[in-house]
Amino acid sequence: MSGLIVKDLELIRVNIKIYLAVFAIGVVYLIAKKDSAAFFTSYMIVMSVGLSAGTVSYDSYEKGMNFLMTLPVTRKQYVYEKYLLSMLITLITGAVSFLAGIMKVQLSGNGMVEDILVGTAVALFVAGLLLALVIPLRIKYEAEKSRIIMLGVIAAIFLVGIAGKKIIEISHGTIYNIAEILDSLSAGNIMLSGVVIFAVVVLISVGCSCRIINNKEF
Amino acid sequence: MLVQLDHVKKIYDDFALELNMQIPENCVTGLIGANGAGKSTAFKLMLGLIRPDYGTVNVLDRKASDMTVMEKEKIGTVFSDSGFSEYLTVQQVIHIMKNFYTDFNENLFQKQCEKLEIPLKKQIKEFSTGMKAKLKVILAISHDSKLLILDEPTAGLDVIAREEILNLLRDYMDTPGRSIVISSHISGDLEHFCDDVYMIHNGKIVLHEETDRILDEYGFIKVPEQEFAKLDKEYILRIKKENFGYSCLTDQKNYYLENYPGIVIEKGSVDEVITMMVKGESI
Repeated sequence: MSGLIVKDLELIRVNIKIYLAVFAIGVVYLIAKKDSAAFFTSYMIVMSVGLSAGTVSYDSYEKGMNFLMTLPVTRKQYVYEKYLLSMLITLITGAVSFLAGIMKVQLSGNGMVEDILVGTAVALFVAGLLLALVIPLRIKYEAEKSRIIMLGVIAAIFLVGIAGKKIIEISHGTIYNIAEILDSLSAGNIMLSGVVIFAVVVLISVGCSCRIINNKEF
Repeated sequence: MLVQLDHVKKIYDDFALELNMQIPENCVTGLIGANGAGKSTAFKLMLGLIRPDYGTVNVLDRKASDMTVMEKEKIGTVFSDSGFSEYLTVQQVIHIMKNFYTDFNENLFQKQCEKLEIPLKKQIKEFSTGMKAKLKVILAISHDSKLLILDEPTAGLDVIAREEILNLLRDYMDTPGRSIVISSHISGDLEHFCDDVYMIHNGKIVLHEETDRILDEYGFIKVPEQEFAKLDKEYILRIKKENFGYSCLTDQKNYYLENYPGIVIEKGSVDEVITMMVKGESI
């Protein structure tokens, strides 16, 4: 599997200037704007999802997957490597931007470390769920089609959001009760629930990706 | 057998491929056929990239679709239309290959690159077609593979580049126990290189023969119509009506030379034999 990791890292290295430019926008925003640390960490984490998910698209350009699957690597290893590398990149980006955010708070005296911590944890959670959705789609549909499908998924999430807002307006009492229950949970319980949900979603996603790639003909 | 395709059938909406093939050790096998004949599909079956609908495909004593990392390390593959990302440099590819193959021979690889003037620091996308093709073959032979599966490795190349690639492959075959399966739609490329050839046409093998036998024993009998009527047709594979009478392809040239003194029999190239097998009429 080390061959796959090195290949992906080399491909990231090819485009490093573009990625650095994208991350630099976040750094400029962090330096220039007050109370920007929480947004900065979320921005960096979401951008890192694009970076790691992009490696799947790179593999499929110019029938690249045909050749890749003839190299000494199994289909399952390919799937595991994609999740491992993506999660690692996201985690490292999250950790580095979290530290940068804390530095900003300490130096400027604006904002609270707790806010950045919660912001980073939520962004990592969302990034993980996003990766769990994007990776199987990219493996199944490859670059072009998966981009169209992702647009569809984003539109669907948007519609679900609008529908959720309507539901809150209509059934104010019930939602209020749920919010109360959430409020009564300790931070530890919320975090544990988050980790369990994250683990279940990622496991289902890995299982789906393995099935997709095993049934795939190149 | 390094590769064995047993009663294999792969069916698509508009195309079906039927194969029975064996690739023994120490053998260079050519797959010849027009574009779309089914050569690439045959290779994909051997590499486990697609699964047969019927029959079995075994490579290095294992079902092709179940090959492990260890078996894959023993196979070198070249596709004319895919490979490592062209945004990488050869130096980056070396780094990647070292991590993929335990037996990657960096010295041999670098020597071959130097010999064939492949730059190490340029992105592959800046290479000429010939350089890209040579690089793919050098990569395939530089990790102690036992079997090379080469799909059109000489496609679109000039004569000199083609010969350089064939020379690399001849050197590779100097080590006993190795085999090559190679395809080309230019049969002349393979005529003096392959030990035997499979000719695929419209998804079916229309000819499987040792190359030497094709060159030595196959021939074209040229006869006027009256003589054609008297001709023993037992060893005639295909016939074609010509202005002078008939051109008949035989795989027993000597039989006709001995039994029909004065008969005109022309030696045919692999290309001519194949054309006749496809375009000629059966008796």
